[in-house]
Amino acid sequence: MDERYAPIDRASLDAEGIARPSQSYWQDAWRRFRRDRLALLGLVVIAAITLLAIFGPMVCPYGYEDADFTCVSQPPSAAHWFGTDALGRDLYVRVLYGARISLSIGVVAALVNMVIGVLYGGIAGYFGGALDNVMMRIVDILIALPSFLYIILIMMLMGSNVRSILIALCISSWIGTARITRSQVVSLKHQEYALAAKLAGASDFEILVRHLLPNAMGPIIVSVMFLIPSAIFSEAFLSFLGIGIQKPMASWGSLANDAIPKLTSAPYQMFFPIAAISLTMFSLNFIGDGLRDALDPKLKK
Amino acid sequence: MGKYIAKRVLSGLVTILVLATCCFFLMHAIPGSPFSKGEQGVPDAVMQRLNEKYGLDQPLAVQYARYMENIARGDFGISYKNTSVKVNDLIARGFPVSARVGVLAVIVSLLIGLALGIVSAVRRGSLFDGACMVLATVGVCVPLFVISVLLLYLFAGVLHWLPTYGLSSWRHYILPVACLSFSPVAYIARMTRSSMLEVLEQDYIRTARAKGVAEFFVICKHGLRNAVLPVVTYLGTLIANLLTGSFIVERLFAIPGIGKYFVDSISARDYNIIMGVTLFLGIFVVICNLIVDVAYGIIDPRVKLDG
Repeated sequence: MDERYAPIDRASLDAEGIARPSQSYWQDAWRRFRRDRLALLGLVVIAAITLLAIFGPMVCPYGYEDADFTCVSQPPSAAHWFGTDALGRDLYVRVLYGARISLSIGVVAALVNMVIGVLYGGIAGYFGGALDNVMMRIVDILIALPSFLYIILIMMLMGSNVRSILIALCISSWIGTARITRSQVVSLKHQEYALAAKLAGASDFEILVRHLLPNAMGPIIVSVMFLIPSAIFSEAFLSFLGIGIQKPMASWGSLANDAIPKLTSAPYQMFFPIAAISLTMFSLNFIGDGLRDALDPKLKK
Repeated sequence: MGKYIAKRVLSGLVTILVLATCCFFLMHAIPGSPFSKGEQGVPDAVMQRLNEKYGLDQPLAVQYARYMENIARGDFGISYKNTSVKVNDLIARGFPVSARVGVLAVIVSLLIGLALGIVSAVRRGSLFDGACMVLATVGVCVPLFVISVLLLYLFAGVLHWLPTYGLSSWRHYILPVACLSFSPVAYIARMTRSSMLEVLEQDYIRTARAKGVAEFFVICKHGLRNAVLPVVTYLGTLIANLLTGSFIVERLFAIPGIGKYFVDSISARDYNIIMGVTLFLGIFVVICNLIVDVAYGIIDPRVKLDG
């Protein structure tokens, strides 16, 4: 008989064996994310800006509030890479300080909003019924108002500083996360594993936190990721209007605000802060898009 | 339909009530009397007369009732800093100006956004489509104040083509409207493109083509009518965004609109004006959202009317 048609020795086969190591959800997501070049580029840019923001001011010979009246409004040079402002302060260091403030506001606001939104949406979705109804009506009321209105009211009440910006942002932007979490939890809570956990005697809180939320994490992370640029944007908006970060502190918005009167005579004072914020917004949005495609492939067009 | 509208109106009223209550209590949470002016202060007798005149010596509940009553009558109060200034006068002076710019911006955003979206959906994958999507990404990512500053610098600072401040001729409207509509154009183009792509794959489009309907009518009549629905829901957000944007644009271009007055009163810490204008803007947005919701219900009969 032709050797090619000989029956193979079944005993030598490992039919039950799994040929490749299995991929977890997160490994799978990382594989998809890695293929997105724009998102990777965004990640590199954000990492670079973060490192510069942390270490840049340490190695720079100037402080962010050191005024030097002998070199006022100098264009970029070897001594002052981004030039100096109307008080002779080095703009390079001020832009880096702005990065510290903008990035930390973005990250802190996003994290706090994630906690509030996930808990609110999780509780509403899990318990359902009248509680859900009341909680969602409250969300409807809040969502009907543009958030800048109450952000400005809170800033009025608490003064213009980083703390009140953070509080204002934390109060206003958890709604999106809460809605997403709720819809995820509502669709997951009747899954078999939730029932199994319940039969095994797990408490409601355990089921919600241990079983439902980890499975809902993908869309939640995506929504939180987009909160970072929107928080940075809100801070810049407030500071640009002159009601956010106050002197001598600097954020990208307030630097741009300071540069308006000198737009034609010293455009470089405007250029660097707005370039920094645009670059950051692009990068964060690309990362967000990449994460969405990676964590929530169903949404991909 | 009637039940749907009634529900929406009710929810809008509750929203306004909550906002007004927040404004009232926030104003009272701000420490100090509105009339205490720095170190020298106001004589006690004068202070007492002022408090009496504006009802500030009444119990909180009475003040609250009076505040609500005034708002129900459309009276948003006066400035305590300069008692000849009424919030209503500011609104009467500033709002029409802002509304002219805003309505123009809505029209421009819709026309350009829809056109870009339709063409890039029809010519999917072409160079035009690619350019549109790059533009849309820029419009979504770059903050309004950056765009405004760049346009101001380019067209008014370097090229000297357009005037930089005021609203005295039609040419004054070009830059502010362009700034305000930049990011809405991006959003609308993106939204129209993706919903158009979805609609163009539907069976009724194939049927229309099979019947021999001219391609122009297939796209504009059968396609657009259905693809435009998500854009209608975006209109409410658009109006709120334009209001926020007007703060920046009116300040940069020195336009005497409500946004500029609002920002000026924030810098002057004129709390009563801030609260009054906030409340007015809040009510305006709620009403706009209500109109958009009801319009959506009429345009798309499939929408759940109990929602």
